[in-house]
Amino acid sequence: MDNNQSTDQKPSPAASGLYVHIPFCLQKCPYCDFSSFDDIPYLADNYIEALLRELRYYKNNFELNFDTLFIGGGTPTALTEKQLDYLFSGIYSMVNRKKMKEITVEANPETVTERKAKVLEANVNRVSLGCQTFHEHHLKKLNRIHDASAIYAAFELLRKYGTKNINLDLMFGIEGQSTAEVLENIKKAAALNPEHISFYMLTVYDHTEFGRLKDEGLLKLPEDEIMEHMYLKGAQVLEEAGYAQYEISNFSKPGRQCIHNLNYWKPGEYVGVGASAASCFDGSRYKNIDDVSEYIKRLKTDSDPAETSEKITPETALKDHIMLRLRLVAGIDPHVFRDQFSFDFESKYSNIISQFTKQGLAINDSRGFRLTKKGFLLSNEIIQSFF
Amino acid sequence: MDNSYMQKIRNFSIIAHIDHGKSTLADRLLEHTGTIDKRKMKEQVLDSMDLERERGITIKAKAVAIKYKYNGEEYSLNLIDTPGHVDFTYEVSRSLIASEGALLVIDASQGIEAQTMANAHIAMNSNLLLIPVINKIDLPNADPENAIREMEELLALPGEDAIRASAKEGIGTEEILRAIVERIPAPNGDVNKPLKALVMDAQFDFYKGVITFVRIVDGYIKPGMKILMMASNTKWDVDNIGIFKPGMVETDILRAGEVGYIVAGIKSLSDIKIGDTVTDNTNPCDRALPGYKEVKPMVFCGLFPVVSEQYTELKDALMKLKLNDSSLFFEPESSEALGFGYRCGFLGLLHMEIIQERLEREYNLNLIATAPNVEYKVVSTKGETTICDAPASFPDFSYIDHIEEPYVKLNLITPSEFLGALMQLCQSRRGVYVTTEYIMGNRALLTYEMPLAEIIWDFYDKLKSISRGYASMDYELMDYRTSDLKKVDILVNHEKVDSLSFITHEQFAYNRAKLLVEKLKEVIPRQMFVVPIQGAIGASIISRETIPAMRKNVLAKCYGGDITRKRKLLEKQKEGKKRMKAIGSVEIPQEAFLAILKVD
Ligand SMILES: Nc1nc2c(ncn2[C@@H]2O[C@H](COP(=O)(O)OP(=O)(O)OP(=O)(O)O)[C@@H](O)[C@H]2O)c(=O)[nH]1
Ligand code: SF4
Ligand SMILES: [Mg+2]
Repeated sequence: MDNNQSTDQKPSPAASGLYVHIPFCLQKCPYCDFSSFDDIPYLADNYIEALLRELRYYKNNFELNFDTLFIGGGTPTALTEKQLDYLFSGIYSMVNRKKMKEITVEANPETVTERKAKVLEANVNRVSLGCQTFHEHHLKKLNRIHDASAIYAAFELLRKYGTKNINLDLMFGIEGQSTAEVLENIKKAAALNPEHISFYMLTVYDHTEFGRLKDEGLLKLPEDEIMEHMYLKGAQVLEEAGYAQYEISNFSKPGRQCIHNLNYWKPGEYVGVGASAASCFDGSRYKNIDDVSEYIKRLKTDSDPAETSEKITPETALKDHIMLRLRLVAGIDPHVFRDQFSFDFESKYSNIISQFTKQGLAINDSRGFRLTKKGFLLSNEIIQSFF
Repeated sequence: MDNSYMQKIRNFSIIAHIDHGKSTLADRLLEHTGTIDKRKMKEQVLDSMDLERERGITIKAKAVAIKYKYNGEEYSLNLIDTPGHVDFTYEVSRSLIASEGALLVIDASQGIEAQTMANAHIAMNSNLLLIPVINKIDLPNADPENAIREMEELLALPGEDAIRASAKEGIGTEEILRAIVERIPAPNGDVNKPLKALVMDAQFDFYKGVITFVRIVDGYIKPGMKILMMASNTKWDVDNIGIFKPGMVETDILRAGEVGYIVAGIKSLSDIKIGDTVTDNTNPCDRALPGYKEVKPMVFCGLFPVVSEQYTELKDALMKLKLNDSSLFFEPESSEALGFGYRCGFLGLLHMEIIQERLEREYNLNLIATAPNVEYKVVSTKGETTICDAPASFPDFSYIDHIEEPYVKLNLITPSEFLGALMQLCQSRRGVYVTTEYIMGNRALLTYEMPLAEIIWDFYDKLKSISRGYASMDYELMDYRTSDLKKVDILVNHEKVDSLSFITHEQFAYNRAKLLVEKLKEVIPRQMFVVPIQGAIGASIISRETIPAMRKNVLAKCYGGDITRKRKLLEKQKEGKKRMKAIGSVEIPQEAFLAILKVD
């Protein structure tokens, strides 16, 4: 392979984010809808090699200029220090680390050891830690492998070794959970003073363990009214603690929004490598196959790991724009919208807009059309009415 | 011509309660006589319609000509396999008119059941010879002796006449064939008289047009003859004729006593009347046959396409089905809630279910069916009577003097242990008790007079569940009686949904309205706003529930860039809503319109 092509011959996608998927976890959570597996750790070495090959393909064909890198999973920190080293040095040999404003890795408390904390500090500037809840009985319900003390220990280690930008994932709507418990979680999380908190509702997906239990009537989630209350109250407590909401489930200290995720909702372009990773560039969307062994095999044989690809038509671009922008507190910016679609959002959708603003689910003013907190809870319904 | 050939003809039907083995017995008779090649044989070979095969039941009666050698001489046996389900009893009556005898099949493990009685009585009333066949003696729980004793007691048929058989294993087949020849009388027509034939049935064939099934009573018919249909007063030229073996086989002549078909250039089934008399146009017979009692639909419901564009398709499909099912009735209906559709009439609930299934499956229609109801006679204060087969078509109650509803005579046969519970069920459905007759100490025949409306209201399922499947029922229309009936309207979000209205006896109105409103609360998904659901009689609200507003529908986590999947998910949700009917701004799922049947 000739890696010394002159750079000006390569197309330069506007992709500003790079996503790297690590599909390994120590133990699969019963609600988890992500592509992650707890029974194939032996594939990790080959897998990293494969995804670096995929990245090399992009490197060879495009001029890469990423603002952000997000290593997600799964649990990237389930990899050994050696594997993490291999992964990072591989990535950094191909993309310019210095230009990147934000490099995030996802981690779970049980995997954050002293040595890993050091590896992370050396390679990333943001860690997203899955903690979900501080209540032991709820951690058990979620079949999480760690207890509450592991959350504190992991957080402390990350800070001790210098990670300055940390997100905590908090879940609400767990079976048997009360609003008081949800608020207690938020307070405990805020007391740690992370830069960012994701506060999201437990969603049950059909093909997961929880999906099966729910079908059989063995899983009883809190009533919708209670979920609503948890969300509205929780958001309020978060804001009181200095975490401003900027997306349906995301809250941060000033200036600490996740840049990588913001790009998805813009919606901007990005490249994803690894099994199940999605990409969007050059007017198309791609999604890699989920199966890890198959992914490795395809890259060994230099075949395309994409399972699906979709050309973005003006119609889907419009749907995506509305769908993603309405996730943001900032909502749909009328100027950006007009520039992109050459028509006026407000006049085209005036009926829908007034319907939702009247119901208190949305606000429409010179800053644009955006959902209220109540509107966020019904965002699927609201978005659909534009489809 | 000599009439002696008739001595070698036997015409008979096979009748029984549903599932007692009529069609399986027909298989054995066809197989044993070599009518059907062993290689082409399949189970219940006469059940040739897709739906018959799928559901394992006979829907249409079918005739077959069999040759059988008895004492060295060849006999022509015309067999008619009949359906057992109560909805299709009219097929049994028609078949029996064309027969001199019948095999009365009784399942040895079940004994006499409601349709055994009903069908045996039809045969006896037409003075037909009955040959009792105690079937399924191979079953471990078969009790032929008991079945025979029940038969003696309930039908007064001599026990020694019964033949023990297993249609499955071919036991008793030869004995049955011999009995047919020995016991069933030969037809007694006269081939020298002018042609007189009964139109038993007719079927539409894409290539041949209408194929008319006939039983020749007197005279004969040949291709080239000009025939006269006496009741409809139409004339046709006979193209060709033949018999069923069971496929159509052309012959030169059909003579008195024989069963076969006529093709005579008839274009449409509407040109022909089942039960009509066929005669020779140049030499007509003196008097037409009594014919058949007209079959009338008893159960009605509205069928509406979910998307209005399918309205014409629905119409075409109904017309096509009607080609071969003259008992199907339909006329345009328009509903404020459901738009344009058809009000359809059926013989019973099974018939209704079958038609709906065929429309959806064979014609790819997506339909909303409203709850079934009976036909009412509404007498106005001015003394005029109108027939109403839809709650929505009822006049304002202030113009109504009284309403009459159809009553049926209901016969239930049940193990005695369930008698009390079944009597309670009948009583709770406005049944008027007539008699209980005990059968051999452990079973009973229970007779009630009951409004048909109560029977189509989930009665059969209740009966089966109370009796753990052991009770059987049969009913026949008796008369119309005045009842204190009310119309309950349902308001969704303060708008009356006409297709949810129902007629019920006064005593049930409050309770059913309450239960329906509760049920609707369950099946109508939450909307973006609070939706009140109310039941009302006239202007007074008699029940009320509220569907709270939807509180959440959100993709909580939306990281990772798989935007396509998320968009598709929302598109799918949106598509799902299109399958519901939007009434005002409320989306109502299909099942809501049938919810009324699930309340009791
Ligand atoms: N064991 C046993 N099963 C039988 C016998 N005869 C029929 N069956 C079974 O009973 C069931 C019903 O048989 P059918 O011949 O379809 O009954 P049918 O009376 O024609 O039913 P309908 O036309 O629906 O009224 C089938 O599953 C047959 O296989 C028999 O002699 N022995
Ligand atoms: S840790 Fe995260 S990715 Fe792994 S199974 Fe649990 S929820 Fe899924
Ligand atoms: Mg049958």
